[in-house]
Amino acid sequence: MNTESIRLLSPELLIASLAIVVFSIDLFKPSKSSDFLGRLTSLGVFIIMIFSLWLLSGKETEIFEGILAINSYTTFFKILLMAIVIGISLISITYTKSYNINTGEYYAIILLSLVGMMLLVSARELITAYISIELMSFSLYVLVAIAKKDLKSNEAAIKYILLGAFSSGLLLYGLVLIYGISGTTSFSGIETALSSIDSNLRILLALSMIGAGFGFKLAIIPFHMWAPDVYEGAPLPITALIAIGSKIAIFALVLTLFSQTFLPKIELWKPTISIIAAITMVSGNILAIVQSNIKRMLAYSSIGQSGYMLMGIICASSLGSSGLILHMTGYAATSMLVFSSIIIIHNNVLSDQIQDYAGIAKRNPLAAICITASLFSLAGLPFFAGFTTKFYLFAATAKEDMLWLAGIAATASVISLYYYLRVIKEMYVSDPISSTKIYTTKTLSTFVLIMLAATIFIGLYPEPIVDIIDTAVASYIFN
Amino acid sequence: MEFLDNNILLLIILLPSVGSLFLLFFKDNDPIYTRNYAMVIAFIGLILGIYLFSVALSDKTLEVFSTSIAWLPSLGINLNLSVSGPTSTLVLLNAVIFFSSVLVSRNLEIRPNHFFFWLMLLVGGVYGVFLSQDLFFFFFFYELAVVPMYLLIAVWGSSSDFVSFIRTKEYGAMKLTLYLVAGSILVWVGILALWVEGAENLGKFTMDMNILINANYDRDFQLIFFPFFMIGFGILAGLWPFHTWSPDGHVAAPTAVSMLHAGVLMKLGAFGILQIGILLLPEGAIYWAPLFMGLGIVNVLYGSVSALAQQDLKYVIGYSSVSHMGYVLLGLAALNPTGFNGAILQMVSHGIMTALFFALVGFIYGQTHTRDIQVLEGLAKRMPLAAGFFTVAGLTSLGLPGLSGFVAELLIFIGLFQSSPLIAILAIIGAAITAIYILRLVSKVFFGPVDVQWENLRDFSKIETLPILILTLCIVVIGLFPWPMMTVINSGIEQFIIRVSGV
Repeated sequence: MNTESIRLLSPELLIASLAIVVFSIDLFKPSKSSDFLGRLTSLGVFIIMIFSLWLLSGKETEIFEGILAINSYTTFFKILLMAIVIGISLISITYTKSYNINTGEYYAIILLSLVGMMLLVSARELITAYISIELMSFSLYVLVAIAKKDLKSNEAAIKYILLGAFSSGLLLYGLVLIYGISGTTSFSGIETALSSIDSNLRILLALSMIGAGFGFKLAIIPFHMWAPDVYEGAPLPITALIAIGSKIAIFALVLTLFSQTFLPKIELWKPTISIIAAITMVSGNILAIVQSNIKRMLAYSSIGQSGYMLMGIICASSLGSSGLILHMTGYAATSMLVFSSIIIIHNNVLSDQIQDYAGIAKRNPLAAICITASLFSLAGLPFFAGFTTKFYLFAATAKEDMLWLAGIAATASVISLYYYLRVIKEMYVSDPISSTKIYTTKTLSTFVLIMLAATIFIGLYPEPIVDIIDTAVASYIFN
Repeated sequence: MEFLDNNILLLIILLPSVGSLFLLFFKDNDPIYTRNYAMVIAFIGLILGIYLFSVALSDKTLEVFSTSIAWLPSLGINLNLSVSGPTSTLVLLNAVIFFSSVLVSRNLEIRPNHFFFWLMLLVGGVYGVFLSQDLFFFFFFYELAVVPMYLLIAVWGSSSDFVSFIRTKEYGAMKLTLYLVAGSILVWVGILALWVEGAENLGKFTMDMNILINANYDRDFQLIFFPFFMIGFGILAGLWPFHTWSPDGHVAAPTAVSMLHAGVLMKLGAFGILQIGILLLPEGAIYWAPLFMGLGIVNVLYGSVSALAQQDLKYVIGYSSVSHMGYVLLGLAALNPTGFNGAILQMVSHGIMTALFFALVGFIYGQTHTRDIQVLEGLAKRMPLAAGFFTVAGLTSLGLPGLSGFVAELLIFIGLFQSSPLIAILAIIGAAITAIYILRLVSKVFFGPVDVQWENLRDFSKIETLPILILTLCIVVIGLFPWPMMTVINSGIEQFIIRVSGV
């Protein structure tokens, strides 16, 4: 262990210390907690984000004898995840008040899950990866249950913990098998070992276990059952954290694993994952049609999005990986936009039923426009991020001779447009239930506008981000 | 001047699409101010359109207008804009219809600023499709033109309510959007295929149509993928049997949107078939031409027969659009210069004519609050001007010499005779059926005894006549002096002919 390793790990260490600071403030000065802790968390993470940009940019190395990687790929994801957590803490401020959530624990645990996500992204070794996943997941289990008095939140948490533990078990079993086959836990060691081993059956077993484990975490059909309940029961900002943060972090790891470590055995996993991707995007979007609760609808829509993202894994090419990362970046901005606008409405209406969105356009035009923009973006309509990122991702898929899959994905996008339009119709066409205006805090409306700008920016001028992503991909997984 | 020339195409697209964003900051309840703003934007667009057209007319090269902006080089996407003879005509068409549709939109009650926001976004998309030379941006603008339709119809539209036949505006809006977006899946897949195959043949990624022309797509590829464009774009062009969204959507839409939608948006479909399908996949076009022609003739006949049976005034116009778009598709399917010329002229002629129809129907509906043909009677007594203009539009529709429809349909018939005389004869029969339903409609609704309940109707005021007059003038001028427009259109047809005959 050397000082350089610790220096390069300092972003994670700082975030963890920030978590302890938040805990202690809550412990010793509980009166200060409500708004203050949310601001402190977002400001703290923001400063750490700037610091990590300065510290990590241009670094290409491995630390702690190859346990963690530091390069522009991991840095990109770390910055993205920190930005997401800043957003999550900002939109939590009003929300936590209305649910009497103990903010000290709330923000500290969010920070701990962020540490898990950041370690996950740079893991180069199975045990580290597993521990990071668990750190992230355990934090999320607690966060889902954090609205103590809310029965739905409790129910969702139990479901999440049980299924999460089960999936971790599957994952661990798969990792053990891989260790048994290759005799090492390091990613590069496994890669070398896999390319020289012929017995496919054991590898297939291990890969299916690992696939199922990740499938649960990413809510990929047929392992998606927990997602709608958890999305519905969890406090809204936590739903956003699960849908955006954890999904991006796990995909970042899955992308490194499948386009590097497991690449020698691509013929084993590519056909299966292609079919699973197709099933996930189509049925996720079809199941979303019948939902009457917007959180459940977004849960199924996010399952569908996981299906699109799997295409980036299957491509196993640098173009596909760039497409996946670009799509995830756009998805992050879009989803932050939709969740923060929904929080604006939820803070007033205290309901997530789609029918309660009737006439929102009259009561709060900003929220209505933002939800419309984000849903259009999720459906992949132009002007917004979704169109450009999907086009990129689908083009990369078509490039790898999988035009059929791109076609299915495009069809799934149209299905999704149908239920998004129903929400939009509710907001614009139906008559409002009450005529009272919906108020927002300045923080929330500023944040929403910034996310709207980000969504449009990625949609209209993606080149700067694509450049960064291309370098990131070239520096790590396809060099 | 040089700076303007270099950026004029970008300006034409950005003016409405970016200009629309400012409308979001306007007050909700200020229809006059909002409308004036939209009118200024539309008017500048019209001037730019006329300028482009006049340059095209004056034999000068149109290449000075081409611009190219690098956008995403790693996929070979650049914003390439350029204009040719036919596209300058279509840009002018869009400008004229946009301007007159803004003039027509006088009675907006709900959030006029949002209405014009979506409307201008749509118009920007249409300009973009006509001017883009890049597959990505073609598709981008194509979708951009479709997106606003849902809200425009669902919020500002009107439902049809006959006791036996109810169609809500939400239904029409949803049907239209899903059909069009479903069509664009095929287009999307087709574009990706062109791009991948082009990259293999050319050795580099590019979405530029002018480069992809040289990609030498092999015959099997062309045969497989031409139908993607034929049907995908065909849905927007109202191709039978995928046309049913069109009457439902047009009827539910507010007047200005019906005008733009039937007037220009449906043309995007036909233009897409020409610009991507026929230009990039000529062998596929030749192989599939018989089927394409067959569907086109069904369009003509089925559309006009359906129009005969309608009870709602707007549905008659809706089905007549289906039938007239059939002529455009037939002209394209003929795959010869006369046919192409006729098809593009028919796009212009039908665009203006149908916009005129919808403007008049909107005016009548605004006063009578019904579109039921059974109920409307003898309106000419109270609305002589409206009756006169409606008759002109009707006569254009059935192809009376001296009006624009005649020239266009004549060219299409000649083009068809060269490739398939049987189809040409059937197409002429279609024109005869058009005469039946149009004349019946005009005599029933406008002439004949006046019903007492229509005693209090008023005719156009001076200011209301302006948009109607503009559209009517266009019809008459094109009908009497078709040569300027014909020269301009013909100047850009050659590239398609070379592709089709070079196979």
